[in-house]
Parts: sequence; C-alpha cells; structure tokens
Amino acid sequence: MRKKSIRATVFMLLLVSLFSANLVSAGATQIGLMYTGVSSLTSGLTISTSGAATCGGRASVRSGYTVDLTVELKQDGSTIKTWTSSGTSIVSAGGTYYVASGHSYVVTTTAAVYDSNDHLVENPDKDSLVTYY
Amino acid sequence: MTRQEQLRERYEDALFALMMDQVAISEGKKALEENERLKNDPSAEVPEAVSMRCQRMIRQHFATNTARKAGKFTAKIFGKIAMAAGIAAMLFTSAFAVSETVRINTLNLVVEVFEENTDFYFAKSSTSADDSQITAGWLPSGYVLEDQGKDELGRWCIFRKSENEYIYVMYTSGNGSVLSADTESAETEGVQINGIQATLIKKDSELQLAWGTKDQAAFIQIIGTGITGEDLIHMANKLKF
Repeated sequence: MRKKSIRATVFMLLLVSLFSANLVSAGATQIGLMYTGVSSLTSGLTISTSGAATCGGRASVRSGYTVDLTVELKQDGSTIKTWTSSGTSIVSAGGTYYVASGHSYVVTTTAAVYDSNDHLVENPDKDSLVTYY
Repeated sequence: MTRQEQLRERYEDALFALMMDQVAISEGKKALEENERLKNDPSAEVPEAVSMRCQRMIRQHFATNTARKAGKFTAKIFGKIAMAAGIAAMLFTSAFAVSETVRINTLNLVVEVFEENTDFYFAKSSTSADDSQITAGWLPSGYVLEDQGKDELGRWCIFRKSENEYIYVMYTSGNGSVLSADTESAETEGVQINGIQATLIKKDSELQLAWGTKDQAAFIQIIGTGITGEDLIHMANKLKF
C-alpha cells in the first residue's frame, strides 16, 4: 500500500513536471525589457499562403512621453523591411510585404521612448512569434 | 511387593530427597559466596567496551523502532497527498475533457512572466481576428472618446477625461502576435471577464487588464489611469468588439 502511494505521488509529480515543461517550451526566449514610458509593447506577424507578410507593432505610451516606433521584418535574422512611426498615447506602425518561401521570419518592434525634455529614457523591443514560410 | 518392602522404598526416597535438599542448600551458599566474591573482585567486572557495545545495541534497537514508526507516519501522509493529487488530476482531466474553454486556455494561451514584463501569446492561433468595431458598453464618469484607429494588429480606442486620466482599449489579432505588458514592481491578480480568465496589473496609478478572447482569435487589453479596478473590470465586462 505504501509503495503504491509513493509510486502514485512520483507519477503525479512527473506528470506535472512534463506539463509545465511543455507550456514553458512552447514559447521562444524573450529578452528582458525595461518599461518606463510605455505600458505595453506588441509585435505581430502573419504570412498568407501567397507570401504576403502582414507586419505590425504597437506601443501604448504613458502621458509625458513620446515614442519613435520601428517595426522590422527579419528574414533568417536579417532585416529586409522597416516601417516607422512617432507619437504619443497609442503608436503603431507596420505594413504588408511579400516574402520568399523557405525562410524563417520574425517582426521586431522597437520603441525609442523620450521624456518631456526629449531625452531618450529607454529603448525596449519585442519579437513576434517566428513564422516559417 | 510386601508392606515392609513398600515402607523401605518410601524411606529410601525420603532419605534421598533430604540428602538432595542438603546438597542444594550447600550449593546455594557456595553460589552466594561466589557472587559476593565476584562483586568485590575488580578483575571480574564487565569490561567498559562490552558495556558500551551493549548500550549501543540497545539504543540502536530503540532507534530502529522509532524510525519504523516515523516511516509509517510519513507513508500515511504521502498516501493522503497522493490521494488528493489523484482527485485533483481527475477533476482537471474531467474539466479538460468537458470544457472547451479550459482545454483551449490550458493548451494554447501562454503567459510568460519575466522580471520586468509579462508576455501573452497563443501557441497556435489559426482563427482570423474579427474586424468589427470596439464599443464601450459602459464608461466611468467623465471619460469621452478622444480617438480611435485601425492598424495591422487590430483596432484601438482612446477615452480621456484629462491629460493624465485616460483609458486605452486595444484589440490585437492573436495570430503570430506577442503582447508584452509592463509588470515590473507591479501587483498582478487573476480576474474573470465574462467567464474568461484575465490578468489585472496594478502599477502605481495605472491599471492594465489583458485577456485572450474565447475563440483564441485576439487579445483584449485595457489600460486606464484615474479609475478604480472595479470600474475597469465593469467596463471590460460591458465591452463589445
């Protein structure tokens, strides 16, 4: 009876560990950021069957700050297209670009955040999910 | 056997018993004398090493018994834990099998917590985001629509009461997107928005609420300043998109 209980406990712990490991491994590694003037940063990429890559980035900006937003489409790690935008409150940039097949693509959104004295206070970035096309 | 022969036999038995009794008394005296002699003889004392060994053996015996009792108690506790874990696993499995929401949220929505930020994304989102407008079913007093727009990620609205009192509402396609919210030194808690699990982030005077739609097509995000958590949750529950 005791052996069965111990076996059941170990089995449950293994199941929980595997379940947690799967959830964690489902995501790509992200770079640590520091947010002072932005509340959130979003980066997105979808590629249609015809190769049209819709790329977008968005930053929600706290009052008193201005953001220069740069959205880069990267093919196998190299930038192939860039979109930019500036503003306050909600700033977004992006567009559509046709891409070649047989590569991996990711969109990196970078927010250069300036305070009311026009000093750069931070430069966080965020990658979208990687898409293979 | 004649009577005389019988009497003689009894006499011999009685005499033998008397003799043996005398022998026993004599042997007992000798044993007591020997005992006294050994007690008074230092060379006859039990060696220290033997005494220590005996004590050690006694202690080991008692320690084994104590360990056995502790083992039984631990096994009993483990058994109860295993039973509780089994029941929890069964309940979760049932909910997982019956509820689509639980299944989708468990397998698909990934929330990664880092030191400075928390990332939300769907591990797989094949559903296209709805292109409909965002409509606030309820707004806190004094807030009015200032601006709204559409971009590659979805739609957004800005409601404002003053320069530092605003509400951003963002609808973001979940397909391929990663939403990163500032949670550095922030207080986070789980809340329910129309039956869906959402994350409420409180940082200084700013509140942020983020959750994934039931069909896994998009993220909804509301960021507000100058309002209470109750108002933000009420607004989220009344939001139409």
